[in-house]
Parts: sequence; C-alpha cells; structure tokens
Amino acid sequence: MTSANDRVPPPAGVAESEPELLRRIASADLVAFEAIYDLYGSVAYGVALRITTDQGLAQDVVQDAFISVWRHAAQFDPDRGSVKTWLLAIVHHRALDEVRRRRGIEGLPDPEADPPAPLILPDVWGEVAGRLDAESVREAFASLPEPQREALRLAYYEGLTHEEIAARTGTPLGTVKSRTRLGLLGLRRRLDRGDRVDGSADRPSGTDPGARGSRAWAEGER
Amino acid sequence: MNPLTCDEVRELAAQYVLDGLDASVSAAIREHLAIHPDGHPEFVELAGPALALAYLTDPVSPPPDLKTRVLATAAATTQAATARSRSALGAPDSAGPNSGGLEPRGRQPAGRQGWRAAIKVRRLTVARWAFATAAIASIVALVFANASLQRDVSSATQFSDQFHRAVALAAAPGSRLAVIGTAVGTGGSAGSAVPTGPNGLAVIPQGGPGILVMQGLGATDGSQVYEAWAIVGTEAPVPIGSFGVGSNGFGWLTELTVPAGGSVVVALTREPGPGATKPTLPIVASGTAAPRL
Repeated sequence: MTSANDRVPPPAGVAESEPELLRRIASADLVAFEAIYDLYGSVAYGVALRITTDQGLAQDVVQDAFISVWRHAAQFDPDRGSVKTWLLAIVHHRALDEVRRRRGIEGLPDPEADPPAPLILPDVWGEVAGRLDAESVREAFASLPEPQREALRLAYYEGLTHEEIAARTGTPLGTVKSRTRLGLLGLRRRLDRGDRVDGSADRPSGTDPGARGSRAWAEGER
Repeated sequence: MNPLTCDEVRELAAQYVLDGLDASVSAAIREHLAIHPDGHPEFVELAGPALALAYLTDPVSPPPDLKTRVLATAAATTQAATARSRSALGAPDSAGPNSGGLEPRGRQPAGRQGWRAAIKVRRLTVARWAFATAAIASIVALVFANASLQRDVSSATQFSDQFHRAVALAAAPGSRLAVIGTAVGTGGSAGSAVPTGPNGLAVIPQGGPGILVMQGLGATDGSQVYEAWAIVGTEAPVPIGSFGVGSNGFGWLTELTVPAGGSVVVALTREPGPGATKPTLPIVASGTAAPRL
C-alpha cells in the first residue's frame, strides 16, 4: 500500500504534493485551492449527496467544507493524515448537521463551533494516516456481517442515533450499540490486516500515534 | 449537563466518533476526555474506522458552477481577512501609485521566449456566477464596515469598491472571469515570496472595459510597476495596463481592454518601469478568462 499522496494522482498540471498545496492555501493561494477542489470536489460531493440526498444541500455542504479548508489550511498537519480524510470528515459533519436540521432535531452542534468528533481525538490520524483507499475500505466493509454494516450505514450516512436505529430496525438498543461498536472494530481489524498482507503499512514519516496531540490541529475546524 | 463517568463515556464512544450525539453530550465527552486524556483508548480505536466510512461512497461530479461558488467565496474571504488584518494592525495606507483607471498602453507584440512555458493555462468553468454575488457583496460590506472604524483605510476601501465592481461585472451575461494566482506546478516563486500569495480576479465583460483586482502583491519600489498581459491563443503577450502597489498588497486596473472572443490568459509581471513591451519573467500570477457556460 502506498501513501495517500501517491495514490491520488494530481490533476494535469499539478506537480505539487498535498502538503505543499495546503501550505500555499494557507497563504491565500487561490490556484492551489482550485487544485485541491479539482482533486477532491467529486468525492466530497459524493459523500454530501449520499447523506443529504438533496443536490442543493449537498452543494452547500461541499462549499462550506472547502471554505473551512481554505480558512483553516494552516492548521492542517500532513503527518496526521491526508487532506482527503480531513476534508471528508468535515463534509460528513456538515452534511449530518443539515440532515438533522431538516429532521428538526434539537440540540444540534454548531458546525462552526464544533469540529467533527473524530477529529478532536488524540492520535486518531496516526492510525489511519495515508493508509486509506476506497478499494480496501470497501473490501473490509463488505466482509462485515450484514447487521453490523446496516448499523454503520444508518449511523454514518443517515445520521441516526442508536435509539433511532433500534426503532427503525426493530432491534433492541443494546444490540444496536454492540453492532455499531463491533462493526467499527471489525473494520479496523480488517484494514490493519490488509496492511500486513501487502507488507507496506507505511505510516508517513513523523506519524507517531503516541507522540502527537491533535487538539490544536483539529481546532482549525472551530 | 452533569459530568459523565468513565463507564458512561465508554458506552457512548461509538456514537461519538460517528458524530451521532447531540451537542451537549458531545461537549460533556470532550470535557471528560480533556480530564482523562489517556484513559479512553477506545475512542482512538473507533475513530479511525469511523473516518474510513467516507471512502465507501463513489465520487459524483458536482455541477460546474459549484466550483465557481467555492472559488468566489474563498476569494471574498481572503479579501475580507486581508483588509481586516491590515486595518487591525493599523497599517498605514501607502498604496502609492495605484493606477486605477489607467488606460492600456501600447500593444506591440512582445517576445515569447520563456513565456508560454511559464504559464499554466488553467481553464475555469464559470456559470451562475451571480449565485455567489450576494455572499461576496455581504462580505465586502463587512470589510467596509470594519475598515471604516480605522483611521486610514482609504486603500482598503477603494479595493473593496473595485472588488465589488468586479463581482457585479462578472454577473453580467457574456462576462469572462479569470481567477488569477500563482500557477500550480511552476514552483510558486511569487507565492512564496510574500506572506499571502498574490491572487485576485480579472473580469472581462462582453462590452466595455474589464477590471483586474489583486491582493497579496509585494510592494513596488520607485518606478516599478506590475504589468498585466493578455495572451490569446498562440499570439504574443500584449501589455494591457500597469499599476503600482503599496505596502498593503492591493492593486487593481479598472480599464482593461482585452481582445474579444474566447479564452484569454491574463498574467502579471513585475517590471522596472511602465511601458514594458516584453514581459520580464518570472510571472507573478496568471489565470485564464473563459466565457461562462
């Protein structure tokens, strides 16, 4: 498995690495920003559209997410993960916010004030930095038992709470909790195993799961 | 909300990493984790795969005008932030010889040596630009309001006015728009030479003169100017106007006369004085103005 930057070919005419592009974006470089949009606009829109199921909302979500990247590029730490993962976490967060707003759920987080939950955890990115690609994630996900896949789909893509999943599927709450947890752990285990199989679970240099705090970096979302 | 116990936090970990909790519970978990930073490895264990779930979705091409909206909003955000920071720092307005309204000078063809190789022609699909206008206008208004609190803000204010005018022109049918910046893949020399990379917009309406607004430019000294060039197809670059820049980094041209037709590259070079007929490399910034779709 290669690094995320190796896996994502830059668009024609783009010779710079993602960290270099982010450095330039932090200096208010619109051309570099356009290059990042060209790289990840489609995948961001795909996630936003799947969650919101509304083209207008999805466009708003993608716009908000990219503007967040534009505003907070200086906080991006390339040692802690790829731009793509960072961006998609923001897209997911904003898209769920829109979906829940549409459902009239109270107590919504303020998307400007609160970063995506996984982003503020310490050392998360050391676990996934540069190692994700669509194919390996799909394979790992497909190998989970269907009840776990369903629980994760409903939680991640529909923004349902455990209680809502239980009601939707007619499953006891405790079972839903356990399926979600086991699903995530199973996905992690399978992704880790994939790394061992191909023998190149390379963590980008400088990525030390035990060494770096993430709060300051993630607070770029605030 | 009452503080959570370790057991309660552990129970909520999966839902937390999936962004499935309401704001108050998430905040309580954050507070708990801040107190026990090493006490809950399960969060780290679960958060990685939660992030990976986004990779299950196939890419979908967004409508072309979304790119325009995103870039325009970013440009406006930059403009606002820069103007605010200048004002907040009390930077003196030394825009100097900004030559807004400068008539384009001679149009002698310039030499092409090294020119094309230095330009990355970037096509920007521009449609429904007007959609972004309201957002930009409101940001510009905020800049104006903020800047007006400062004693010496005339340049920032003028820049805001010109930016606003550029946005209005861009909304007109038939306008061509270029996002001007340091070309990706060319080393970004200009971008790294100043704290904020030079960037801006060039808008060429269907009829009448166009406008170029730039920020993040290095200040010009003495007789130095930034020269704007237009290049159409395989033709040689043509000078279309020049301007000086003060310490605030703002510059603009309000009477751009650019050849009619399709795409045109607009580029900036820094020249020792006005009247250049051949560009002095390197290119500071460039972009392609293309008709809206």
